[in-house]
Amino acid sequence: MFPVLGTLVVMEAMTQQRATERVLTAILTLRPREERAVCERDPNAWVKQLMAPLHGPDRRPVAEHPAPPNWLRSLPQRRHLPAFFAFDASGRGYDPREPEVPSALWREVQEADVAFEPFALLRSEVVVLARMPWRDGPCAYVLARGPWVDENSVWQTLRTGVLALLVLLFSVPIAMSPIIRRVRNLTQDVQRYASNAYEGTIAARGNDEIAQLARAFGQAGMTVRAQLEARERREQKLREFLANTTHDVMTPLTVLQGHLSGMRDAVAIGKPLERTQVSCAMDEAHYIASLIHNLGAAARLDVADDALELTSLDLRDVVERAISRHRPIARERSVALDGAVSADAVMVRADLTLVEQALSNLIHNAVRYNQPGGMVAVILERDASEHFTLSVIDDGPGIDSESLQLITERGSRGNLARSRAPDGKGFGLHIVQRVAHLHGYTLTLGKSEHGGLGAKLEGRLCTDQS
Amino acid sequence: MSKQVLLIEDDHELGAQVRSCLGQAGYGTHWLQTGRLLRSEDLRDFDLVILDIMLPGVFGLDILKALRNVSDLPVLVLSARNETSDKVRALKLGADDYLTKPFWPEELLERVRARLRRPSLDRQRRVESVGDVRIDCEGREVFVRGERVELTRSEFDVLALLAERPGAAVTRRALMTRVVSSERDASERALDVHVSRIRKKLGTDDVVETVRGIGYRLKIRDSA
Repeated sequence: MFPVLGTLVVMEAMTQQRATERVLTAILTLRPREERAVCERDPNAWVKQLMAPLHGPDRRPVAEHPAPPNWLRSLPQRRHLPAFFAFDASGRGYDPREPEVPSALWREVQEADVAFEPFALLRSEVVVLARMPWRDGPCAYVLARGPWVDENSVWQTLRTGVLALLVLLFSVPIAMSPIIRRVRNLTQDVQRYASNAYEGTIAARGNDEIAQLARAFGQAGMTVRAQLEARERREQKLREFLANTTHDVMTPLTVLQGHLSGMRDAVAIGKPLERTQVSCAMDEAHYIASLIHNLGAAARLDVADDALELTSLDLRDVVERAISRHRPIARERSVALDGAVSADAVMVRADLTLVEQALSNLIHNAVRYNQPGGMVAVILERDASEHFTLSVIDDGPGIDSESLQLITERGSRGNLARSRAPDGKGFGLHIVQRVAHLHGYTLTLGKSEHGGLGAKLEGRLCTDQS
Repeated sequence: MSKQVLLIEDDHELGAQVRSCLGQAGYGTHWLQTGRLLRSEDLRDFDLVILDIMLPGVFGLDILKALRNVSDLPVLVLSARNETSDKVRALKLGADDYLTKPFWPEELLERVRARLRRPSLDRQRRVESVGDVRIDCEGREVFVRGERVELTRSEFDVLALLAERPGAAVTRRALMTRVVSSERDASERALDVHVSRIRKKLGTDDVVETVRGIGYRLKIRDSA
């Protein structure tokens, strides 16, 4: 409001200045040429008679008359009237009371014939310097100095503005108080909502902007809450993963240390190392590696079901890598591990790590729970249309159907799901099942034609090479 | 001359183990313990690069990318991270294979051999040699110690199919589908009979190897 008020005052003052300048300019410039001779005879007398139109018919100043009939006589009832001073072409004046004319005015009047002093808000007097039509002689220039046409108008504008401001200052808070109260209530609700970790909702009554704002806050809070919960779940899974890894790895690691200690003691006394001891140590190390990979896969699978990072891959490469990972331990256990893949590419869209881990688990179980002299075969085939079959078969002891049902449900075994005895294969098979499900593959577990376990994964090929 | 391997691995223990393992298998190894971007002249004398992608200083995948700009050498990537995104990125940047730690030395050797294996099949004439046996798939002839051996059509077809992928096991079903199915008595027993006769005519069981649970394989000998 104050800037508006100030602007109004300044504009009113400028209007008054301009109006007064026009009046004085008109008085000075509308002089007939015949007046030159009058001026040259007596410049001071001539300038006095410039005020004649401002006098009434009895030659008395307008101030003594009632409201004047024309605009030249519309000067306020003031104590002083405009004064005029004559100067010759060189700028010499005749009246000892004449004011000093600023050099800027002299320069301006040379170019424009009429010059004005710059506007000053607090000065209600106007100075006009004009060159007479005859342009030389003792009255070549005349300076007029006079008050604003209506100085009171600025005060009136100021008074009106202050009054309006006071009315607004009192009326606006009264009008706005219901809205302010609602905004305050909303602020308290939002603060309470945030301090309660965005549980619950924010009450929103009506359909106006404040109600919409309340609903928007509520929505934002729900989003934040969901993200916080997702993050908490991830952190919980990570904590579980770390705890499980620590727990599950410690025992086989201890066993491995035991084997290594035994081997060290044997070497220390010059005793030849027993092959079985070395094999057991390798077995434990292999189991630990497999367990860590499985725990990582399980953590990924437990966080979100859409944790797949799909890419186009050739299952033949996956088979080759998985077999080569387990061949050393298979050889150590005297179990023949071989694979056969299709001559043509077997392209699928799958998560590379999870599919490789699933196949690895099947192979690992088949090798680990087989007897010396046994065999494990991995066969990858594709048909002419759009399907592949990946089989892992062995001639080991196999698993009865009832146990098969139980051990694929990791949750039903609780902490035992990852125990090494009697058969830690439940964890690995559970991961195989989850991976198959996520990729849309069919997993069939049963008895193989060679007497052991037969695991078959079937799925669709992809034609997209990206 | 033995195959030469460039090993880029910063871990002292692991690098020493890998070099020792490759050396025992007959491969020459040059070991770089710090990573740097390689130029084509750095790779001239090598047949394979083993690159650990987690190196201090230089990002291993940057080394791989720079290497691919100047060379087609096979690259086997080693990584301790079992993340799908890392593997996919390495393969897309041109790695031929990757090996996730921990791994057995034998596993490393098997991957190295797979990358270095050059089919002895002469692509111009499709000739495969295994020991004293030479199989000319195009001419449909088999020679043992230079002397021609007579095989029946089906017997040769079995041998030729195995020779298409030497060292790789072929399922009984694939053999039966391609070779034996046209016969009147198409059966696994017929297939076994064919193989038995092939072995007898070649005078050795060391060429066509039985792969339990799968089928048969043309045996090859890997050398460094």
